[in-house]
Amino acid sequence: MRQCSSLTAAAVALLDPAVPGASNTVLMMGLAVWAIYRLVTRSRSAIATAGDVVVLVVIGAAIPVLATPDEFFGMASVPQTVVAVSIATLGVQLPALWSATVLAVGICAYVSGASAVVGWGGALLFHDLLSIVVAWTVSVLLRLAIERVARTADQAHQDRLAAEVAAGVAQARRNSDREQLAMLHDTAAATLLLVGHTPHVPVERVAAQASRDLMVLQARPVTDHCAPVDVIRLLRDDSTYLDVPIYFTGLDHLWLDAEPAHALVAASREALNNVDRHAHANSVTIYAGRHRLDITDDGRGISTGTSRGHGIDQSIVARMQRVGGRAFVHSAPGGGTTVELQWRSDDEELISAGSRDDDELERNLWSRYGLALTASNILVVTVGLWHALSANIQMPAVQIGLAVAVALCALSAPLTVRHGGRWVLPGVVATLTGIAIVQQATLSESELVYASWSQAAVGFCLLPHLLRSPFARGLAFLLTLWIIPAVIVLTRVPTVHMVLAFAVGAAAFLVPQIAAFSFITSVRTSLRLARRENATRLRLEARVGVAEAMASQRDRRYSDTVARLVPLLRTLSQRGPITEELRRQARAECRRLRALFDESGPESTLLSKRIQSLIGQAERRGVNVTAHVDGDLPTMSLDTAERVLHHIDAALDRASTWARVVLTSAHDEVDLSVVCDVAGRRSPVRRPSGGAEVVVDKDTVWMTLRAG
Amino acid sequence: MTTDSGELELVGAEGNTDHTVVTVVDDHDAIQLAVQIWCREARPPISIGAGYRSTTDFLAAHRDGSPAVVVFDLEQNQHRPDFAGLEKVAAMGHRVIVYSHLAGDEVILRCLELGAVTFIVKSEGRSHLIDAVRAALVLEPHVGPMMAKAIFHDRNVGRPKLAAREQEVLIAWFQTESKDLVGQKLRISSTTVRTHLQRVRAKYAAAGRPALTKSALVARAIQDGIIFLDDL
Repeated sequence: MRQCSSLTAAAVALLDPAVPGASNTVLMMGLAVWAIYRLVTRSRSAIATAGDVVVLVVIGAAIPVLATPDEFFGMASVPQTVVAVSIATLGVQLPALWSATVLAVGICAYVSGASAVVGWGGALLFHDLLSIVVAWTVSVLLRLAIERVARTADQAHQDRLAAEVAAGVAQARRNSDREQLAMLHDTAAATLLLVGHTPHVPVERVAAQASRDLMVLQARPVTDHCAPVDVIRLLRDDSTYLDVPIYFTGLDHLWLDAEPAHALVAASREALNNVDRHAHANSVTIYAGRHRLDITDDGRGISTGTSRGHGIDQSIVARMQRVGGRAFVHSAPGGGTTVELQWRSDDEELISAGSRDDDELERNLWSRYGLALTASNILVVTVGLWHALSANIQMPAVQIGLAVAVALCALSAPLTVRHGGRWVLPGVVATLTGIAIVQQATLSESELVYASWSQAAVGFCLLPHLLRSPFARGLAFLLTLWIIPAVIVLTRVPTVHMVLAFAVGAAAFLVPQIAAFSFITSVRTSLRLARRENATRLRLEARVGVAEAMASQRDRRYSDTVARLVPLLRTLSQRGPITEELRRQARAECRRLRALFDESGPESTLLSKRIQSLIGQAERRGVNVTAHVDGDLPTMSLDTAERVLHHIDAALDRASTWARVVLTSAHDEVDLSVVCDVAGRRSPVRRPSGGAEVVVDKDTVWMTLRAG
Repeated sequence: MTTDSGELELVGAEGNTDHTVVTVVDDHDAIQLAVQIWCREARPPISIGAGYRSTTDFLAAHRDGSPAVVVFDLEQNQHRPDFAGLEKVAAMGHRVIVYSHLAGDEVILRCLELGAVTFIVKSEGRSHLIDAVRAALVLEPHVGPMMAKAIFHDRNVGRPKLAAREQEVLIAWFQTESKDLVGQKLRISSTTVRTHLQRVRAKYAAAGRPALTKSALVARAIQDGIIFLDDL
């Protein structure tokens, strides 16, 4: 934008017959060349930015060469435009402290240059400086707004990501848990139930079942074929075995589903093997994109005439086709070879899910960026109006009235954005165009050049209204607003001087306005792209979490349980007599398995873990405990949790042979219930403290407690 | 719902326990054996027929037989609930007692919707299963403790509005698995607790999916005065 504006300004200066002089031409040519160079390279390096600063300092300091005093009285001169626009764009680009430094340097250069033309202390000099400072302030405001929007969007996305990953992992844990419990249930639990609770069970049958259970339980768990794989990491690992050095470009990580990933890695491996064996290459470059992997070598290439052989057709092309992808080999003798691997992406359906984010962003955009634009607009109107009034123009009251109308238009933007009907926006454009026409019509020919503040103001005023408009439509409105008054003024005063004034005005105001507007569109586009990428990332991250959860599952509970079951099953499989002791053990293990089945899941809280430990204590005393803890208990305070645990402990302590512990949610509170038998226990049943209810029926005691 | 007297008569004839077969469908011999032993050891004993390892085997053997009481394992061979199998068996008019280690509310409610007469979780033990079999034999509505919890938690639209007392009974039944204790706490007899539970099951069946078992259950409930036509 800075360069477009500079280029326009330079072109205007070069075409202006009123500004003679070779040095002017040279400088302006230089400016134009620099602008074109920057536009072509689009470099964002610090050096290029420093170059821009140097250009603005040079242009500022060279004002005596560039402008005659007459020229300088205009509303916007070429040097002023270049300096102001450069400072403004750097204000958006650089952090505030740096841009403030640039501002100071620019002002110094400008003052030293301009004072040579109009003298020190002139009011005009002061106005020019004021507009530069205003431009900078506006740009810093916009930068802050942009940062804020970006931060908010990032934060919202991060939160959502975390939440979805957590949800995905929890779901996967439940699934994996169910799978494992189902397996335990089908094997050991069934056998132990038979042994523990059924008298006169045939020994042969038990032995056969126990042997089968052992086989199933001790088999290695099947690895998860759905877990995502980082293709780049695998390729990096592979590359250490090759002689040719490999350089990786593009994505650092490429997470794909196992099936396409393995095909991709295998195909790449074959391509790399070919390079290693046949190509005589000095290096290989692997470029990784989201849907494409290119393996390029600088070897002797494959001549197109020869048969490509089994390697490429089967190991690369067919392999990629099997997973719904494609492979191409581009090569010329002596020109190296590129193997291009492509695969399908199935994340398209996820994109539509982001409309909630869209709305949030729209709101954010309005509240931050729109506010900054409105503030900027009022600033521009105020400065422009003051500029005009201080030049003693005719009909100052009309000017003030028009300025107030513009400011009101700017302030009404939230209404247009939120409730705007089809004709509201064209209405606003028409009103603003009218204001611009009237404003300029009320000025005399001589005043037009320097007191035409509406040129800058109406465009900025329109910007907040365009927040929801598509780019083409918004651009059309902006241009309409600019061109209609310009054409009217030019028919009234058809001088070259006036044309040039408008051209400089375009460089100073229209280009920044278009840039500020296109920012909104580009934010929307980049958000859409980011969402697409995030949807994939989200899915993949969730799957990584899933894979980890499953791995840790196998490591923890599952292996403990199996380790405990194996000796018992082994004894049973040896066809020995089923003693009372064996039965007791079988019952105990059955209870443990049941507790495992009853548990809501591995994400069960600390509370349910502590309940489990209390139950464990009771079971060691020989009490048979069944427990049920609701999966979706409300959040409890530490005190409540302690109270619940205390009551469970006290109740279980009284149990003599069996107990049933149930913890369920009741709206915002929890219901605790412990039933146990107290036969043979000496201590009398005391009423527990703290609002618990107790029912006694013969040898059975039932304690209930509502806590929250 | 309208229930004419003809159907009531039919149901009454169906309730003859002497000829109703009890059978187990479970892919584990151990479970088949355990259920058979429990039934024989029950006082008074319940006569039980041969077991089947799969729904397909059962359906093949009972293609045109009279309605049976089926103790049905929900997860045969594969590790996922065989809802389709359950639906087929229930649709043939058999009284299905789902006997599963799964205890999730949604699984239980789904089974009831598909026409199961009751749901007993394997961890609930033999006495509950025997009670459920006896209830099914005489076409009485029966509610297992975990099933009580599932019904208590059911927030689906179209579900019957349960009275506060019935909700109390449901949750207490789930907490204690003992009708005596529930009766003591709520100061009612254990028979009344049973009636409450039957009434809940009948209301639930009436609101659920139309199935043979449902009309049978509701008809029986009306006969016994557990549920009134006004309630429907």
